[in-house]
Amino acid sequence: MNPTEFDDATLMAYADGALEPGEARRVAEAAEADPAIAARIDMFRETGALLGALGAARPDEPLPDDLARKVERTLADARHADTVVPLRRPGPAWRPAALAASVALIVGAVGGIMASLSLRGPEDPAPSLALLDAPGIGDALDRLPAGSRGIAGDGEVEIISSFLTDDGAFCREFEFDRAAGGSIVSIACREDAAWTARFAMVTQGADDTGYAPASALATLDAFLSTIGAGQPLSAEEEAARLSARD
Amino acid sequence: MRDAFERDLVDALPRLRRFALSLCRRPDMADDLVQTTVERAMAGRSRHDPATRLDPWLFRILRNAWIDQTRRAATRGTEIDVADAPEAATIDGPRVTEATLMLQRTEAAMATLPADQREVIVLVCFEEMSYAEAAEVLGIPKGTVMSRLARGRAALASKMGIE
Repeated sequence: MNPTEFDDATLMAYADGALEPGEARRVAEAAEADPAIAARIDMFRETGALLGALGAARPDEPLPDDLARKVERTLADARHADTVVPLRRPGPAWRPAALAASVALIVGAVGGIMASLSLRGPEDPAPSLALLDAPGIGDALDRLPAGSRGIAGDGEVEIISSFLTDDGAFCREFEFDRAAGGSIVSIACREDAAWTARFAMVTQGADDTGYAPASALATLDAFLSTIGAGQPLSAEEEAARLSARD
Repeated sequence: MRDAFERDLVDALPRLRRFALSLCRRPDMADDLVQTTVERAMAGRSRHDPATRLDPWLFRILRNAWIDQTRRAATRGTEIDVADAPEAATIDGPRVTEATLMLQRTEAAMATLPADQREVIVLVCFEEMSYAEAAEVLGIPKGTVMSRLARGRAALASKMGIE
């Protein structure tokens, strides 16, 4: 038993290095004066070491294939739910629905800078913010309703949402996935019957869609708020805008 | 492409499975618990504070799933078969060292402890959680974790003739 002024929990915490410095000092002094306390602390040190070794010796089994597959499916389903449902999410909480993860480079393109950006590295020819010049992208923006995908240029365009800005411009958020890998999330607005990129975020990771890091979302949010982006348009409003082209 | 949450979640899966095995001692049931944990974690991911470690949060989900399941099992009258416990695998081989013997003795002594004491040992000594994190997993005060753990370790020491 422990006949001292400190209870076992405190002596154990001392042995585990989990006490506040002040209390640790008091325990250390008491242990110096009283061999019974020192022995009690040693006992906790020893059991801590033994149990730690026992824990470390446990077999490090890989996940059974069956379980790993089920987990993958669950993750994919959750991701899908997250990318499909919020397309017309009400409220000001703008979120790109299908950003590829790990943003490589961010360029605010207000006014349409025709910059050339490296997507995946110097060995990979880069798409540029002139991406709207790629054949088919402007057409896809004219044609596709939010939530749908279409072949355009050397990849696929997915329209994420449509909205109006404060000054009445009709804008669309979309993702452009290059067949060769890599993708861009962009905001383009229609000006004089032509689409101009106002924002583009070059993202990495062509193998799958996923969540963007929160910092990237914040960047897009900030941009959307600076241009006074309104609520996502309803399907009807969007269709009316699209048919009113030219 | 996984985000940070999913990466941490996937990274924790072997630990979760090991914890599940320590609770139910049946591989098939442990796998179900891990799967349930992944489902609940993905559904409730907004409730995890990214400033805190993911492991204790996940362990708590798994443990609650285990409690749900045992409650259901109890009403069904299902027996839990302890015989094929994977942890009961013996450590042997041509060279049984002093250290190995000590581990075997520790394991044997630990097996005699009450379940609540074994549980805090698994979380703190095996999984290297802080007392506070173990308290979060178990949904009990930190002081209770500490006294339970101290009792368990003192009992272990006396069973093993330490001190």
